[in-house]
Amino acid sequence: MEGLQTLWASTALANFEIGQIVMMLVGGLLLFLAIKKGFEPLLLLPIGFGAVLANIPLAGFTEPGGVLYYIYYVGIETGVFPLLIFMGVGAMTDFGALIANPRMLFLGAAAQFGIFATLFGAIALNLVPGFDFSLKDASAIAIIGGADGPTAIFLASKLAPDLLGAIAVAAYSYMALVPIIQPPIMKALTTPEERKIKMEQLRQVSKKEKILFPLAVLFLTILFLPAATPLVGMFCLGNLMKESGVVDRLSNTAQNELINIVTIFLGLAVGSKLSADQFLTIETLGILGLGAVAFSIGTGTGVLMAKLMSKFSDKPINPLLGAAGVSAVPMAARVVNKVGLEANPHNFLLMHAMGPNVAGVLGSAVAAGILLALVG
Amino acid sequence: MSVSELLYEAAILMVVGMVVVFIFLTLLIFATKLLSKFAGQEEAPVNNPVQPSNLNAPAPVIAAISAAIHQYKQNNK
Repeated sequence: MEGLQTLWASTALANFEIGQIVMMLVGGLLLFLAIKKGFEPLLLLPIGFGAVLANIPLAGFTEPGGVLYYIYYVGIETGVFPLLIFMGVGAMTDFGALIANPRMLFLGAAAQFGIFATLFGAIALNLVPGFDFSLKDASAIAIIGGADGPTAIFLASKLAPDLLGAIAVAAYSYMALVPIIQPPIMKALTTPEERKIKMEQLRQVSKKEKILFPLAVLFLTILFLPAATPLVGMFCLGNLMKESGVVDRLSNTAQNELINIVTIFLGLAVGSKLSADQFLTIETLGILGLGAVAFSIGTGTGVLMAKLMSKFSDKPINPLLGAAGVSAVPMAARVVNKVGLEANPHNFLLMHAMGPNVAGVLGSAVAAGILLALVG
Repeated sequence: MSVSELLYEAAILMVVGMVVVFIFLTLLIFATKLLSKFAGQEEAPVNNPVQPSNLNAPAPVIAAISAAIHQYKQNNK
């Protein structure tokens, strides 16, 4: 009889807490979104599975000795995983469109207003009872508006590790929702005539320019914003490996095998942060809400900036391009292309949108550096 | 810190942050333009000598094909 009781006490059934069950369901929901709906499956699948594993009673995945604990400790607490991902993204990025039309950097800058406006909004949310965000929390939440998963995770791990799970889930969910969130905002802020504007053909960019560009970006970051050098530095390393053309093996590894391996661990580690006591709070709801606001504001200010620029520019600028200023590469650029094609079936904006799109990546890395320098 | 103090700090952060982002990326625009000035020209689009073809395609067809190739190259470089 005693043996039976001991056996019963060692089953999960006897030890489930309601919070753990709810979190397993959340994990299941993420798996469903990843598999059935195709929402950022590369990340949401390991995150969802990590959430299930982390909430198994008695298994101790997230306690010292558990595998998820160590994956988190090694990769996210140190900031290593998001930086490795950033290197891979750098190796996949082609700055050609941006070098050919550098003014698109303004659009990448304008879209970062989503981040800073949300920072203000997160603090304002403190007026609602139940919310208590510090400046660090607010900064980490606001970076969701940068629409850049690795940047968001990097910043959250430095500024607000206890909110990391919710922030990462919000960031990746909204990135998956870019094709749904952005078009209504883009259409509301532009007229059909503006959406039909054709852009001039981009010029050829020389190999030399492409090699020197990441070095120039790094040089400026070193001079003016050293706090952003971890992100920008790894990004530029990846890009230089690609553009230099002499280390194809390294470049291929960074953008394929390495980024895939790191993505598995990153997802699991983020999932391990989805525990009931950290996730099932009113703050998570606030974070999800603020994330959507951040995204929308970023899209809006990007479009408005593009309209402003086209007023003062001798060359035509299609205001839709501004929406690509939030990073979310290459999803945002594809959305721009799609909305542009709806207005004019012969107007392909994809190449033009890649400029502001990669500018957005730089912009959000810079914004993260600023937040780290001022708040961290 | 009270909420109003936090709000004040957040407002400051918002202004400073946006200003710094703009300044930084503006500098980058100048840097890129400078870069293009010094490194941009040397690789003018290579005009491959046209191979004499023994196909007797009519001139408009050849023109259309070469225009398409040109556009493809422009889009994919």
